[in-house]
Amino acid sequence: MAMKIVAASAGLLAGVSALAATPAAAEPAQPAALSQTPPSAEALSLHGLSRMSCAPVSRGPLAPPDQRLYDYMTLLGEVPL
Amino acid sequence: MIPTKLPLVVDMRRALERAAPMSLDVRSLAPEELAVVQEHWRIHMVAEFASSRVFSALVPQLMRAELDYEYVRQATDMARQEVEHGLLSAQVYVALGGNPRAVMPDLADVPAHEVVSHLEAVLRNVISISCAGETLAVAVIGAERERAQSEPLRHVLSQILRDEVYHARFGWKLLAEVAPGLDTDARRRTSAYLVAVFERDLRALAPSAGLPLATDAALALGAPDGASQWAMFWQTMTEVTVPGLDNAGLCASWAWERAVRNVTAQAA
Repeated sequence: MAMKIVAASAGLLAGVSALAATPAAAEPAQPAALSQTPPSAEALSLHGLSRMSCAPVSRGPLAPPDQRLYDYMTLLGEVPL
Repeated sequence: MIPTKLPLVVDMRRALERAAPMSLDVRSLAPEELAVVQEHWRIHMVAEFASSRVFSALVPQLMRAELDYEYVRQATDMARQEVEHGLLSAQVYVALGGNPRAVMPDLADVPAHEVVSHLEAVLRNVISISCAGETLAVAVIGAERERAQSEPLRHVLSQILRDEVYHARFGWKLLAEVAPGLDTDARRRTSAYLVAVFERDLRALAPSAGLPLATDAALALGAPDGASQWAMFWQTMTEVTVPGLDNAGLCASWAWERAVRNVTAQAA
């Protein structure tokens, strides 16, 4: 059943992809090759949640993360632009 | 003495008196399966209802950014639709034997991002809400609708799915209009903020990786499917959301890899 469901979701993704079909930017970012395999439960750290609030898997969008809880300024120099 | 702060409660009982009752056959479910399905629809009810405030908060932000009338109107639509999804979910929950009175989830404020322009601020929030959250919701609810066996449940999920598509399209359309006008510094800041968006979403969804797969009977009534749901989140992010944001000129692939590294670092 699980395989069947994943296959069904793959079919759905084609429709979902159409939603995100934005015109290419004049200077599109250089995308990296992303892993298509999600990490296992064992590989995930579900502990270090001090910087971010953790919410249950839910419906309806969560409030976007507050930058005051996340020091994004330290990352600016690393952004490959 | 300072009084103890009581948890907020959402009570759908009066609203349900005006809604058509729903009937679902739960006889095929074992007690533990019924409990899983009930818990799912209870979360559905409160989360959908509470998320109305997220779209409401976008209204003044869209106005401050001087975005077109149509975006503001659509944000008010989406706020109303989320309240209605709460009621639809309550109908299902009651049909499953639940009591539609439950503790509200955390009502975190939608951030104002005061350090950047109004336009950049609202873009950050719209990316998180629509391009990430609601785009995932289209995939998740679409899958739930495919699995639903009863016609009343399929009808509810069809209504919710129709709206989720609207919510996702809102974000991608706004991004396509706004992103070309961002200068390099704004794209750099927005890309760095994407790490926060992705990391938060990874942490919110990661617990599903450790959940058992649901039974066929539970799936037929809309139950989430544990690790399969985690795989769907991963697929949607890596095949739809991240490439779409890259295409708009943001460094989303970089941000995704950085977020994944942050979430998996401690276990390494």
